[in-house]
Amino acid sequence: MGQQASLPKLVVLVVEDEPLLRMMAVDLVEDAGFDAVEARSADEAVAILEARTDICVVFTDVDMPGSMDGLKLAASIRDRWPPIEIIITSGHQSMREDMIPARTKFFAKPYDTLKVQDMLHQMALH
Amino acid sequence: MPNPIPISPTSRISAIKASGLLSRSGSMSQFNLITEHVRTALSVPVAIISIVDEDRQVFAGHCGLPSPWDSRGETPLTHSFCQHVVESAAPLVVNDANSHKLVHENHAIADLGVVAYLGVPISLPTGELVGALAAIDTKERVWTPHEQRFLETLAKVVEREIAVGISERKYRSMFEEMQEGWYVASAIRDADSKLVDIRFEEINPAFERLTGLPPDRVVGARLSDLVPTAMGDMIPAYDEVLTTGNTQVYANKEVALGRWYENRIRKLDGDRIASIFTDVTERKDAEELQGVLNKEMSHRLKNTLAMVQAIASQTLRPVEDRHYVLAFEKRLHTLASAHDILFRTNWQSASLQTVIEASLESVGMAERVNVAGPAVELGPRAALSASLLIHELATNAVKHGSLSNDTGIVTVEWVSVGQSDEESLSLTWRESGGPAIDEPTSKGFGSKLIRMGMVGTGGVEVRYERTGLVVTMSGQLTHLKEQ
Repeated sequence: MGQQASLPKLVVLVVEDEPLLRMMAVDLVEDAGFDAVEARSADEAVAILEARTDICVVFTDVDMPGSMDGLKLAASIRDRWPPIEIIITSGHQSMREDMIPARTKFFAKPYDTLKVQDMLHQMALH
Repeated sequence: MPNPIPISPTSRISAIKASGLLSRSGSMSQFNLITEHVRTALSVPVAIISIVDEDRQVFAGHCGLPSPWDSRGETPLTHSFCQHVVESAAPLVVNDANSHKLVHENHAIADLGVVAYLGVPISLPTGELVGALAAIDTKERVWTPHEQRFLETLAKVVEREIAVGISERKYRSMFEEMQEGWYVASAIRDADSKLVDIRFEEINPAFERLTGLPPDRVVGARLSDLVPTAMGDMIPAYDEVLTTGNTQVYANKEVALGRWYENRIRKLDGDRIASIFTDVTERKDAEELQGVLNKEMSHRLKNTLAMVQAIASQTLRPVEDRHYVLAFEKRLHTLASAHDILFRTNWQSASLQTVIEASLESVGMAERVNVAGPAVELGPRAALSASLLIHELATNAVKHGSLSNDTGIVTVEWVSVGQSDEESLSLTWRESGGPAIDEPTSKGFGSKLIRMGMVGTGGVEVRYERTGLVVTMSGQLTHLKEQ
């Protein structure tokens, strides 16, 4: 994906408990020209966000073990790190608008790799 | 008089008991009026309608009886002349009881002062003799044939009245014994004659069993007083029935009572409704559980498809030609979105229009494709293959056909042809405004998919016309709707 070389290397945090799906998401992020950081749960994601300041997009699953799911994680990010963009994905076919925070995009699983990559690029431009 | 049917005493007694004539409620007042009429017309002090039971006679109607018999409403058979009318199945004419061999020892002479008696038989609609209509005098009297005919005619009226009572009782007992709740209610309207409430007029015992609300709280009460939470659901339903006169079936969850009820509401005259209702809570709970299970199944299936996608993308990572990997991913998404559409109807059916639009959506060309046809529901199998098929056609059009430039369009149209079982669907995919195309030489998976048709058995015609690709496919509607 050479056309992405001109963009600065932004960092995307991938939050997914299923290793295979996480692997695919990381590939998707890297193929789009970003750096990927992995978290296996929402709790781990929060720990990473507290430790690093360079995350610009969080790409998270909904159903995950731990003290919070992806929806709670998204709400907490919108609250504590307002500038971070959020993409949510889930096996549920749709999400009601009031279930997800503002400036949050939803993709049903299995998602369209190209469409998610497009969304990452759009978010990176902001 | 019809010839009385010879009937054993026991079956006669059970018929009387079943008729309700021995109970002292019912249409008594009507019978009293008839005896009143006898008394006036024949100038007698006493007239009775006597129902002859095993060991007593019960007065279904009477007037002029001395105390205490008038309030007791019955006498032992030792005091009954009427039993002889039933026994002989014929009128009994007694001018002077004291000298009549059949009744001269009857206690009615001393205790009720009966001297002259004229009684005619009364039968049930089913033929059993039940008693007599009788005129009684306290002094000797010579009854005329004219008076006897008068009484016999009036006995017909009594019999008619009994028949009506029995029929009413039959229907009433049906309402009282049935498992379904039943109520009649009258409309309450505001100044603009808008329906604002209803008032319960009558309910059956099952009403209390099903709702736990006792009759003394319900009858006369407004729905808004009784179950205010039901107003939002029920008032519009009642209004529709009262306005259109159509019977309406309506299931509402009564939050206060915690149950689901299905109401069959009918319009009655006088701005009233009648409703029969059943408790469908178990069915509703099962449906709800089914919905939860379906949702969970769907969720798992989508996760599994995501895993398939992940395995494929990892496995195919070394493949240089990404085109094939993307094609696979797109087909997987098409399958997933067809699943979504089916999921909405609990995997029953999917509208052809919705299936086509979802497939076009995934290719991103929906605005350049005109989709038009009558409403058709596809079964799950046809919905899945139709979505894959339309996806292939659209992908193809984007790569080589009319959607590969900026101006070409596609028209998707379908019609149903033939009748009933033979009815079939004919769908046409017509491209125009695209670049000139030649029939491709290679037959890839995509074109194989297209040639399989909507039910996997062909029926597909592919033509490369000057204006562009035209694909016609047809399938029998019964196959397309198969589960």
